[in-house]
Amino acid sequence: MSELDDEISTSTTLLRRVAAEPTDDAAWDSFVDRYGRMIFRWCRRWNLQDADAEDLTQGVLLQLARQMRGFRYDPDGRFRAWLRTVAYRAWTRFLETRKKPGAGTGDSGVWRLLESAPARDEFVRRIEEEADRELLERAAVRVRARVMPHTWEAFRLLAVEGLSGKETAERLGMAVGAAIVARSKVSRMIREELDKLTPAGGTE
Amino acid sequence: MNSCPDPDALARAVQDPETAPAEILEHLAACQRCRDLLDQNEQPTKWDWLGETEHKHEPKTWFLDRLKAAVRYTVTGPPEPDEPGPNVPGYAIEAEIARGGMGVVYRARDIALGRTVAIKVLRSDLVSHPTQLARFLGEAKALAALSHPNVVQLFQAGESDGKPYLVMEHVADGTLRHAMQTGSWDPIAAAQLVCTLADATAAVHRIGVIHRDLKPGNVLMSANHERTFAGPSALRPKIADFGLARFLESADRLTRTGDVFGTPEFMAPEQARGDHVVVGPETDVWSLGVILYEVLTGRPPFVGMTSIETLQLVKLSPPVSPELVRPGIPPDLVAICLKCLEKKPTRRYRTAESLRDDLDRFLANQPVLALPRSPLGRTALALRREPMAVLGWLLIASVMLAAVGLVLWQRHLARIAATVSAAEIAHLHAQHESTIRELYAVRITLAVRAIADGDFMDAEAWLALCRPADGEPDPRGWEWNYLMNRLHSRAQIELRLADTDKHGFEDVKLVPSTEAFSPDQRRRATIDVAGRLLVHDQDGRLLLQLPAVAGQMIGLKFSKDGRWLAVRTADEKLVVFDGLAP
Repeated sequence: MSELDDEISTSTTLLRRVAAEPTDDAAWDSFVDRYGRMIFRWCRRWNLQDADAEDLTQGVLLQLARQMRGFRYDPDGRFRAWLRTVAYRAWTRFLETRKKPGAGTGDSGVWRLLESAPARDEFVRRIEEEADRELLERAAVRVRARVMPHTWEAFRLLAVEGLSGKETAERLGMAVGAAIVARSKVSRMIREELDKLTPAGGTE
Repeated sequence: MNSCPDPDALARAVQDPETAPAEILEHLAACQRCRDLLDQNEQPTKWDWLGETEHKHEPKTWFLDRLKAAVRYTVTGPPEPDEPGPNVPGYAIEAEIARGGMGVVYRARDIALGRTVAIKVLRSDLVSHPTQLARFLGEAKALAALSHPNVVQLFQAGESDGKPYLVMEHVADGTLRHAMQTGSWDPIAAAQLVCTLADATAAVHRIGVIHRDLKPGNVLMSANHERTFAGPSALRPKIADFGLARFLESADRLTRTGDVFGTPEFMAPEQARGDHVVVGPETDVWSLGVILYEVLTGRPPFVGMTSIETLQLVKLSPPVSPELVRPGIPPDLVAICLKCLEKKPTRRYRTAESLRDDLDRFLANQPVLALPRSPLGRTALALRREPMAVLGWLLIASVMLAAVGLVLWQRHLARIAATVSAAEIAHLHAQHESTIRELYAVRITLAVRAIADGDFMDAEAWLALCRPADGEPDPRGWEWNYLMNRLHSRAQIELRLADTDKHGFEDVKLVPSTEAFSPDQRRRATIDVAGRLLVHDQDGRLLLQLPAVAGQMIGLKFSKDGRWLAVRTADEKLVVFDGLAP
């Protein structure tokens, strides 16, 4: 995901927005765009067909929304712990509702795998990772607005694309040392932003 | 190779790359060591997350759109219908058994003891405030310490995920509401049932908890015990949900100010008025009286066509005596029932114990307190029960009105007699019609009394209630037209100044004026120099001209709805005219 959602308020993450204001429709839409896509891709990695992947995505995401709405985040508490609990509950609740009579069965082999503890743990980890990814993107958006375009480009080519200092310098027509310094500056600024975005101060 | 720059110079260069000295930049390009130095404070960061990633499988746009709609509905729609069971340590949730305005009840298994329990999880907003939670837990502690065969046993209380919960005895055999549907109860069985309930209620009152919402739906029936009374069902009644109503009450008052909480048919008048301060043991005594009435007659004493109407009946109208609804109820039991249904809490049994004791006396064939045996006592009772009626009648100056009242009363008696003799043979349709006629007679009586008391707005409300609903027979006779005419004639009605607030004339007491406008600004009332009252419409046409009424007029005011015009006189009277609304 490199399309940084400029239209979304960059002051905080989606998860924090929906946790603080569960009736923020725009935030929930963006939540679906990001986490729905993520879960869908993950399902496809389990070799679920599109229709099954959609069922699972919808079931899990709705449970996630329900849990977030029902199990409110206490702003004084640890966000990461809240997120983990919510994801855990959403996953187990989703599997429970599937077991109800009348629910679809799908491929029994894959579903048995999905019902295992490792699958659940991976789901929770994926949600956390997506939250981290979102956080990083938010921080990057905020920094990008504050630095010179070629400074950002030097950072992007070196850190994100993994080009060498020489290649980067050639592409941008700048000194190798300047590119290196630019990369350092931007990465430091992004980390500062990350700290600001996680007011609880914990390592998110 | 040049010597490395000092770390501070390096840091400055990073701070401001645009103006960094060229030699430092050149040095960095060549010196791996200094580059490492720059990176050494950096925690590993997944910068590649910021890059473009090609995804092989993306969800379809329409699927995401559908999902957005579903999520929006989930987060803004009605509360979650199948939320996961509560996480209560030591208990395994088995199934949801009931769901109501207060929360959800689950059947659960006590893992250690193996017994089945019921867990009631309250709506999280019911007990949200810390003081409320403390009160909830304190009350639960007191209730858990209480053990009574006819009170649903509370085992434990706590909080799970921010929602207060109660672990209690599982009673599986329906409620009194169901038990009442199985057949009619003879008076002895009814008295035994309510005696049992009163004893249970008394036990809970002793620990300082008022139920506030006693009704057949809150009386659970248990078949796990021996037969305890001679009703058509051999079930033991157990009262549930003691004290919970208050939390619902306060939570709902926060969100829906002005509404009254509860079940109108079983609500005491002080609750119907929203008079929460005076809710006490007598409130539960009232509800026990309603239950007794319904078990005896098959219907609650106050049933309106709408909740509002029911509340009006609860507040204002005396109950139709149960033996008129179902003949053959012993007078002592009727008296006990009616004593519970006194409008004023102080006239009811003051405690659930005294109700229980009186029912015990009835069951033992002893004289009951509710019905004194001496003629003097009975007269005193009648006077005490209906003092307003007595006073009201005395105050009616008009011979005409008295005659109307007499006719009405006789007609009322005649109708009641017809109802009783027909009761056994009447089928549903006739019963319905007679109920309508009964209600009509009561309403007319109340309207007459209200006019006599000067409560013309109440009188109008009562007369309006006499209008038949669509498809219903019209019970109205000439008396209704007469009273309507009287109410709407320009005849003046005098009010005590103290009573004016409730009629919407609050300011007339305070503000002397010689001019008033109707709320819609279409009518203007004035007192002219000659002391006459004039009402004009917006086009300046004279609608009304009255000579000076008794005493000098010093204030004018339309009622809030514009229907009435009140004139304050110098001798502290309020004279009310029809406000000539178009």
